Amino acid sequence: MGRYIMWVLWPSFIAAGMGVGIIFSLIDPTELVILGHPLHVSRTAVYTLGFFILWAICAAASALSCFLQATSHRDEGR
Amino acid sequence: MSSAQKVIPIHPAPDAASDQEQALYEVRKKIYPRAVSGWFAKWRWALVWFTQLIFYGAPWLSWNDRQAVLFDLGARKFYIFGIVFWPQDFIYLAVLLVISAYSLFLFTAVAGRLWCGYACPQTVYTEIFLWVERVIEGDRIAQMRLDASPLSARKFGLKSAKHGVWIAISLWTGFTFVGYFTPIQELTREVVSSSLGPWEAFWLFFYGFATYGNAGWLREQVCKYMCPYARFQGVMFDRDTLVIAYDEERGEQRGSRSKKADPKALGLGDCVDCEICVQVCPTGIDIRKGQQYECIGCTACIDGCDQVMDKMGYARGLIRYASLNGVSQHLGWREMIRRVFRPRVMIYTAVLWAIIIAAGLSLWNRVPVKVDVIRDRATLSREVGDGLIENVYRLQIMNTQEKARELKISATGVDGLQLTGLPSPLALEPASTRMYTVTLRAPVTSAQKGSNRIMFHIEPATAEDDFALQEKSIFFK
Repeated sequence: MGRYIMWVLWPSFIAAGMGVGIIFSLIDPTELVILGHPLHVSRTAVYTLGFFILWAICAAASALSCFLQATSHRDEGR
Repeated sequence: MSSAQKVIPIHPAPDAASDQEQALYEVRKKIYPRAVSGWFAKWRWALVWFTQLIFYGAPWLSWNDRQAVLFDLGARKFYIFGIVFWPQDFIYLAVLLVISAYSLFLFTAVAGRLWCGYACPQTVYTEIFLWVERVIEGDRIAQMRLDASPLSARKFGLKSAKHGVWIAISLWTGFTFVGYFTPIQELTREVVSSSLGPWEAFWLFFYGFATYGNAGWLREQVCKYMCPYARFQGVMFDRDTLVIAYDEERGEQRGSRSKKADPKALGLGDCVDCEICVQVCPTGIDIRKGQQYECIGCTACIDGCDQVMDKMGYARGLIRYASLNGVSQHLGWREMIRRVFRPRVMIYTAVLWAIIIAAGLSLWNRVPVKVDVIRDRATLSREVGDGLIENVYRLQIMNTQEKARELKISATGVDGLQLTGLPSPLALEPASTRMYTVTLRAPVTSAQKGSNRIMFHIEPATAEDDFALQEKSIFFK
């Protein structure tokens, strides 16, 4: 189980870090408008929250990959 | 119909429930690496000092009355000594990543996992944490005894001391990490007056916790199960790559013997099977089994084995830095070094230099001013008196360098085009962005109906600067 946690959390951590770097190089958080409301929080807050949201999404994808791989029939796709 | 039907025998499948359930993976056994000294160990420690002096020291350096290396995320500006990077310079970050990756490929092709063994933060912090563990709990045997012993006041004291020091190092690491993003002097004042911002506090503890967890607890598991490089570095290898190699021909048949005995008479090779190489290994492998992806190239086994060879009076280098060809073809150092200059390495080197030179030239020739022209969205154009047509623009002007400058701005493309709304010369503060609203007027008679292509020209107002920028836009009639 511990190893699955590593396989899920670590690649998604790297992916989220790169994602946050790319997204917020192109977008200035102070110009963000979410559901019609401009954000009134510091950039650091948006970077941090953005990172964790991305990490969670990427982790979900990693977890699904792990799950599909672990539960596939042994003879298929190996 | 044939009466001789083919009979397919049925063999009952083994009952799944009767099989003992097996764990999918073996349970990790804690590795107690034995301390090692020697030539390579000295190098490893030198590199630990070198990399960590840079990491812990760089945020404290000053340049132009500010922190020399500061990734000011709040202001969206990165300062690296004399250079200021803006979000528009994102390409340089991408190029830096490409250069790092290519250097890694090159080093790997030449001499295997140099990065892993000497410079990777995982190795470096593990090394530091192991040292703390050794100072507090004693050597390998003492650590094993302590872990096997029941909880006592002494054990509790030693363990608390160890974790206390680990946590202190981790917090200092977290603090330094945050110091790359928030000016570290300011951060120090905030920590001292306990007025740390919530996000800074969060990242300090988060990074500190990651250091503590990775270097204190996960250790070699990071390299074995989490690191992608460990899995694909094999493709950069060939038989002329320098690796940590066990000279099987010389070592086998392995076996213990007295120092005075003649191994040849006993039918033995030089390996005395003392297992020192296994005990010193931070990932717990046996290098004598050959190349393994778990080997991080730390060379601890070389130092360990050399000491045993010295004691036995045998030649050093039963385990040594050598290429696989070097071991099998009995090549000397000179020959192995000569083979470093092979096509794979030459191509990696050429590509790497090409990228570095291109990036350097582009950085050197970077125009220090950036201008964005945005048309006013409210009105396309309007007629003003005296037979003139007016268009409104917003100019975002950015001075990317830490030097005040003066600019001249003009526009061409329509006869009689006049620009108003800007001071002349336009003074820009160092490393700043300003927005100006500018109006362009042209005689009705000279502009075509519809859109006219125009060009904004941005030039330095002083002789010491030398650049010319042009930005396209449209003038509507």
